[in-house]
Amino acid sequence: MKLFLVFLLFSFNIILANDKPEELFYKAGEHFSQGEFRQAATVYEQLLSDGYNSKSLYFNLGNCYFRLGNFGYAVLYYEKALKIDPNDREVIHNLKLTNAQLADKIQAVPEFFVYKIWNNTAELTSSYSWYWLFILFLTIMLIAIVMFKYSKMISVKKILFPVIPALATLTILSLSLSFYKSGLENATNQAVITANSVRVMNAANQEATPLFTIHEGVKVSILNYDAGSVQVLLPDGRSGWVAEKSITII
Amino acid sequence: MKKFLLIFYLAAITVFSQSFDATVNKNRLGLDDYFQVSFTYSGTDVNGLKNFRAPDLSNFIIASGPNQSTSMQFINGQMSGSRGFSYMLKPKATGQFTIGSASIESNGVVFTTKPIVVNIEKGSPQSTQAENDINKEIAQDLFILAIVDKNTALKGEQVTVTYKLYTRLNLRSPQVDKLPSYQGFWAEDLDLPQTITLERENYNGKVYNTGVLKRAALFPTQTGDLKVTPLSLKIPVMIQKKKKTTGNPFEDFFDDPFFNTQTETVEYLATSNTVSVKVLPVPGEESYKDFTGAIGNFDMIVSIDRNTVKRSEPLILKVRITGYGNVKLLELPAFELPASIEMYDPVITDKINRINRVNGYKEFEYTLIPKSAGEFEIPAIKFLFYDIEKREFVEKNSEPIKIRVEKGPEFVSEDDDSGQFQKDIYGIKQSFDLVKGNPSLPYLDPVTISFTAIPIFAFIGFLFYMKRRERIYGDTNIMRKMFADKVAKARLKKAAVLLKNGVPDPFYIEITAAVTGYLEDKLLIPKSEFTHEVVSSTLNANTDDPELSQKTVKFIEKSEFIKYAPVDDIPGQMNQIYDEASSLISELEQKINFDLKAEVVK
Repeated sequence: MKLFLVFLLFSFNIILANDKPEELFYKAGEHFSQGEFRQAATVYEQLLSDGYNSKSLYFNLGNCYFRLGNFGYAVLYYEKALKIDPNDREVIHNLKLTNAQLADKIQAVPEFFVYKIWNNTAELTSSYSWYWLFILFLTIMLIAIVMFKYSKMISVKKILFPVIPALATLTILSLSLSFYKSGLENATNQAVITANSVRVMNAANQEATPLFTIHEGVKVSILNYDAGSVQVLLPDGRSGWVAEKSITII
Repeated sequence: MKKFLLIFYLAAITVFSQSFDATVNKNRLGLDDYFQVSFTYSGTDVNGLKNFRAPDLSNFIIASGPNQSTSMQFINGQMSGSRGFSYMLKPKATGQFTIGSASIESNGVVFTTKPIVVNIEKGSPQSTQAENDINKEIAQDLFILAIVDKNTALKGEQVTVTYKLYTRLNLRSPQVDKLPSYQGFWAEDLDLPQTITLERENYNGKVYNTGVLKRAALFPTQTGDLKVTPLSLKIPVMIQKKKKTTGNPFEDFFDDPFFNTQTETVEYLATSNTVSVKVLPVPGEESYKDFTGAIGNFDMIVSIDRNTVKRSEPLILKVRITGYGNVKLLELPAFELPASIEMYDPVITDKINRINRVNGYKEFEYTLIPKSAGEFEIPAIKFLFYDIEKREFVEKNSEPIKIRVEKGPEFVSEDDDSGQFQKDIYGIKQSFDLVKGNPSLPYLDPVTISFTAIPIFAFIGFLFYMKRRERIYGDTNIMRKMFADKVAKARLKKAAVLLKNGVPDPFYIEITAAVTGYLEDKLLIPKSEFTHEVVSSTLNANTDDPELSQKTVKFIEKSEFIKYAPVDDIPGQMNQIYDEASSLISELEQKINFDLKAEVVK
């Protein structure tokens, strides 16, 4: 009898371990709504380690860490969610609120306006959408070229003459945006400081002298790796070396 | 080690019979030497042994033993093995001693060993007597002394150990063989000059050259008797070669060191003595519960970067402890902050000077974030240490720091369309959208690639089609050839109408025109050159059927004859001619070689 009970328990465990991702996802949601943020985070983390990802998963995990007061990880997961969908208003809002809680108030250096326009345009939609747009513009342009060449009506040619170069520009632009956006989507050079306090050094070696201190939640760009240290660039233009384990890549 | 060697040795010999032997590793030895005696049983049943009885060893000091070792092996499915019992022994006195018989019982049979005689001599006789002599001689003139500045210390108090080399010989640069281990201490090597400078020193009545090899500051981290293991150096020593004296006065004269410059280098292993330090707990430690083990002489500086700050802006609080003592081991007692001030983990830096007495500083840098506005006070920070010179506990207290937190700008959101800003985060998303794996690249995805290829290939295909069309329609010869059949058929149709109406003359004209026109178009024969000979020769050149040209020429002749000399209508003749013409044209159409592709390329 006892043996049977043990067996039952054992098989129950196996069932738990093989829970469908949907069930785990909703289970974590229940934990969250009951205020059990730690448990919710654990379940979401398990889904992550099982290889799943999505905007909702990252967003919800960010919420868990926000509620737990761990703003470094909250920022990390909100940024991961934004990487998938840069235009989600809820994610943007929560990230802003989290940034207001951080120890470091880092003022970002204003970007060069051309770069800013380009970046904002790329962020409008995903790299796939940009690619479909490229296919659409390409098709229209090719049809226009054919029509221009073989149409016997002068009026058609007159209309098409300025339209074709415009379409060509749109085609090249949408393809470039798709390439650029997929670069952003697959970038591994963005990271968040996840250690509580980090001393930023002027070099990677032992004799380095400290420059300044930053705290969890700061988003940085990675410039270089060297012997367990990474050179990071802060949004305000400062840079320095920190221990590799004190950051997490978005 | 010896135990293992024994195992290997025993394992190497194959034993099938049973035996029980006693062996010693040396028979002649000095009073200070250790030796090993082993009693080894070899046989098939190693596990069934019992009642091992060792001989009387009261003449020796048992350093260790009995140490048991067992080895087993299988040969042709038969197990054999050996079990050894060994003792490390040290003699008590000089003379000849006998190690008696040991006994063991195996399956009811008792085995005994033979007694062994051991000679104990004064000193330590060794096989390489000469080398030993040299080592002994060197040992008097070259040694390392480990010196501690105090033999009793408090836990956490600095003890300096100095390793000094004493020599009267010519040396080459030594190599470290074994570094001392400082178990139970936190050790800091003290800085020494790069090169060892030798000084003359009188030690036990002899003058030596001495040099400091190594110096370390040790801070005991536990109480009790702590030992510092010796430092060993391999030192190449230059010594004069010995010559046998023959009694020849001249040789004795030349044997003088002045003449005899022959030297040899001997590698000598110099090992320092082991030093021990008695470590006592700090007196009265129990009555100070804030004491974290800081010993020495310290000062504390507490500073803050500003006293007025806006809400949510960071403040930097620095606590720096400087002084002599176990700087690296310093801990700062936790201090209480007002609840509305959030504190991050401190960033710790330390810097140490290692000259004689270890000194330096340790700095704790805290980041504080006030979460609400108002007047706050950071309470005094207490740091307790034991002053090693005054032999008393000293408490350093910092001044409380007043800070004023002003109301900072409220957090505002630009994309606030409802007019009322949501102060809390949005709740979790419940829509299930999990995917596995990483996002792929659109320009590497087969779906998007094929969708890119469709319009491009369609475009290229269309261009080719149009080009071909232009080529065909732009060439009258090709056109003529292509439409010869159609033109002829149209004429035949006309002829068919005439046939119906029963008008012979125009009918024959039409029929002839159909055939000759067809041939002119298809074979590109100009009207002016249209003769029977030209027709038959071009036809032959363009078909594989020689009869066809004859047939065609015959028909032309016939139709022309009827055309120019119309016979009174033979009933059915018109019909017959018509059928012949249409079948001839379709036969020609079939049999004349015509390749449009080749024509377009031409």
